[in-house]
Amino acid sequence: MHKPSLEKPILEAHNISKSYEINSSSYFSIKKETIRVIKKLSLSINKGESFGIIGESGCGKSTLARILIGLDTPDNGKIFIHNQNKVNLSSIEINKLIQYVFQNPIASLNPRLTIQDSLLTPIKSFFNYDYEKSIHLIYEMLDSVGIPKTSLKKYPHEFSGGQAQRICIARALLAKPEILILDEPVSALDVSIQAQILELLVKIKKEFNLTYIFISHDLAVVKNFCDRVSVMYYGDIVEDGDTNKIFKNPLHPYTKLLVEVSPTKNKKIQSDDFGELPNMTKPPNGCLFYSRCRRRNEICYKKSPTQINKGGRFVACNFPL
Amino acid sequence: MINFISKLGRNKLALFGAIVILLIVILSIITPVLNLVNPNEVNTANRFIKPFNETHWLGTDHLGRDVLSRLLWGTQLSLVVGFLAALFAAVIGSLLGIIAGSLGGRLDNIIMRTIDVLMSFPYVLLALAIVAVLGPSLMNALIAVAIVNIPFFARNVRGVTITLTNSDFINASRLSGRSQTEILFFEIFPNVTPVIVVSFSTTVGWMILETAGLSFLGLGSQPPQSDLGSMLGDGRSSLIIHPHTSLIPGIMIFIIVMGINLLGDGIRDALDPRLNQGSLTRSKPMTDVARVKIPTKRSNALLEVNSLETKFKLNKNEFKAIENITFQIDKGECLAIVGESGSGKSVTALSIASLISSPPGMISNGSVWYKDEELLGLTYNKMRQLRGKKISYIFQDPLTSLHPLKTIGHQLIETIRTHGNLRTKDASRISVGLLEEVRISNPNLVMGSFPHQISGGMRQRIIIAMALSNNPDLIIADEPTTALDVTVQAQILKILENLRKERGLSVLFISHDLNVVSQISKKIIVMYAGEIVEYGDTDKILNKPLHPYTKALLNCSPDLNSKKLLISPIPGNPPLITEQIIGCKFAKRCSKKTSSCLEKIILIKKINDRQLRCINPV
Repeated sequence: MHKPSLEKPILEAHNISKSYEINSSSYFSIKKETIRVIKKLSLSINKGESFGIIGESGCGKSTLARILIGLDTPDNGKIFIHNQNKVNLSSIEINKLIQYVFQNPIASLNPRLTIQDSLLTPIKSFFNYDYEKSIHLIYEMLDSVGIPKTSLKKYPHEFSGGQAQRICIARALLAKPEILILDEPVSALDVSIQAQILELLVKIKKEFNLTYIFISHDLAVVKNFCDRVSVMYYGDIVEDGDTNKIFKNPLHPYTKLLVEVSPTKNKKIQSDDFGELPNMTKPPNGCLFYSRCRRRNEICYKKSPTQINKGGRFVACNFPL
Repeated sequence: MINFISKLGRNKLALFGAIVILLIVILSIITPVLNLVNPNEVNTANRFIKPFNETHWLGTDHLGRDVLSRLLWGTQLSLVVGFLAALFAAVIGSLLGIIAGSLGGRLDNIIMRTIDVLMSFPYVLLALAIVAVLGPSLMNALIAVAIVNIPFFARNVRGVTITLTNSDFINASRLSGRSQTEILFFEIFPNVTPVIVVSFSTTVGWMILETAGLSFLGLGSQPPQSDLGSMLGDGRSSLIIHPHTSLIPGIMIFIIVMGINLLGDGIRDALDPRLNQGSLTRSKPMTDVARVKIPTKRSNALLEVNSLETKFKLNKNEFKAIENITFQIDKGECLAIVGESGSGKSVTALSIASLISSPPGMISNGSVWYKDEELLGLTYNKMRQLRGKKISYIFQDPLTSLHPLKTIGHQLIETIRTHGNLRTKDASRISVGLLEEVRISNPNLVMGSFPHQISGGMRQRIIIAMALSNNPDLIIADEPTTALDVTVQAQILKILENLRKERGLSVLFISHDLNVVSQISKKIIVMYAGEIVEYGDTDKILNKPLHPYTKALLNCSPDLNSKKLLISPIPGNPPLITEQIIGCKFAKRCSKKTSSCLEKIILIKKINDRQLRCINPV
């Protein structure tokens, strides 16, 4: 989805789609079924923004992240980084621009390598500095993320989740990227540690002049952290715009549903029948949200909505709120 | 490494095997310098001398050769050949396994199908065929045995490699710019080494046996050179009259193989992380209870927990996971326990129905009263009847709580019939009713489905239906919505609330999420480092927290409605269970700390509308 802006977008995706084939087998037969995880999705991210992507599990937000970073390739569509087509860039060139922070910090560090070895890797592959310069850089980075230098000879299992996530952030930053994709970076952490990591992310964003893509299922965290947010449903973006506006006055019924059910203090549980994600292998013809929508009518059943611009916000709904 | 050796040392059998093997290895290393008779010196005049002779300690064989000298040289040869064969198989097999596993695709298919072909022949037949083609010699026997064992290594290593290739840290190193070859050697290889070592140590004995077998058949070592197998072969013809010529090498083979296998099993156990965690040690069906006195019942509550204390034993030290836990739940009430991981909230929940695994856990103080029964003193049979019938549990991960190979209907009916004497038909009818109660729209379809065929939210509702099946008075729900999406979470919370209102069910709700807790519970307990720090009405505590920890926790929980943009974190980390702290356990991280906070034990006190463990409240 495009946002008219004078600034040049740092990262753009045009109509990317991705589907997987799965074998659904019963006792006597094996059927091949196609699941469309991302369908014709477009987005553009401006330099320096904190861009949030929210959605339920299975909506394709992690697949989108993997495609943007290059761990997966889209079936169709193009991705541009700094106006350069991504297919023309080598993986080293891409990862020098974009880095990734995983959800589970301990699992994303090699259990048999010391922290020092893990941190030396990006410097060696991207810059090939000598050992002394590399160690010096690592010391500086550890200082930025708040990990003592004495930790370098330790192994990942000796750290708590929060510390390990700091180390993972340090590793990503050592590539000197411009964009950091944060895939649920605090969901595996305790609340008090979660807040520490979010604070650290805010600090280093200024320090290193970063652009964030923040993927989360937690609306409250996204609201606290992101300038702009895209709501993903079933492999596509259904609403996109300024975070505060979106959460205050959602335009898409799905966004409204998410806001309503997100638990907050002093709010009692409301209605309880929202259905679940429809079967991915047999997508409906019209609006994908049809089966769960309270505003649906016959038109929605037949016609899949197109994106419309409503006061600088984008929404894909036949009858926006 | 030291850890590994000490673990190995604790295993008595492995230690015994290690000593035996060490002795044999030393013996075969010093064989050349021992002043032994030439093992191949024929002296037919002295044939078949019995053992314990002065010049020939172990006698002589059919050609008058000294058995002791031949035994030691033969042992050396057998060990070297077996070890080399294992090394050869390990190197080639692991290499094939790593390549197949990490590159995947067609190459994987070609390698693994070739290996399947190798594996479709019986071991000995294949080895015989290879030797038959290459011609009999010790070297060829070694090659044959090695080839026969390549599949074993290749398959083991490939399996591990595939899991590793899809792991987060391999993806992370790829994003750090590592090339495929670098990933193979620097990232994957160090992680498959334990598998290779384990496979190696468990096969080397088997390989010695196999080469000995080939030599025994005359296809291995050729005269005059001889290993243990060919000694056995030579002695076979005179087994009845002169048993020592075949018995002695036979016993030697037995000792070597036994020693290696004992050691190999020990190494496997010491390297297996599952065994380290003690997951294979069997725990008792009920938690051990060791308490001096039983606190009496003080209220009319449905469930009353009094000064509960649970300890864990780690390396001979005892650590308190929870202490001084006191609370009550009335009929139809929902009480929530909130806290971060390690705060003891789950331990509290599990201690109530003696579900803490013993060892290492044990309940060291306190009492749990359910109506007029004291639960911690119950016999196993009584407790079993109570669990599931009067007190039900719901856990975080619904998938692991369901049997993957049985249909939902089967499991529901089974649960109902365990506690009540019902016909299957009636149980089935009740099951459908329960599924309707937890708002499953097409219960008959779901009854016939397997757990993997339905969504996570549906599974959790089925777990709730199961928990309800015997009309319990109390449901203990340990993070029941943590793994679920917000929409599904709202459904589950609503279902629990309806059940509470309609059935008068009491709920103990455990969560780390203050926002969730505020929606469902009337009363709330805030736990920190194994203690209750604040306990009272949910609304009052969340709107006006008195304990600095509660306040800090609220300040760092992001809230969708708050105007404030940034949350303020609590500095530092919660204390480890091993840390001994006198006084307030939160003091280290507290902004209102004074010197008196750490001087003496701080008791929980009733202040106005709530209980509080703090001397400088907010």
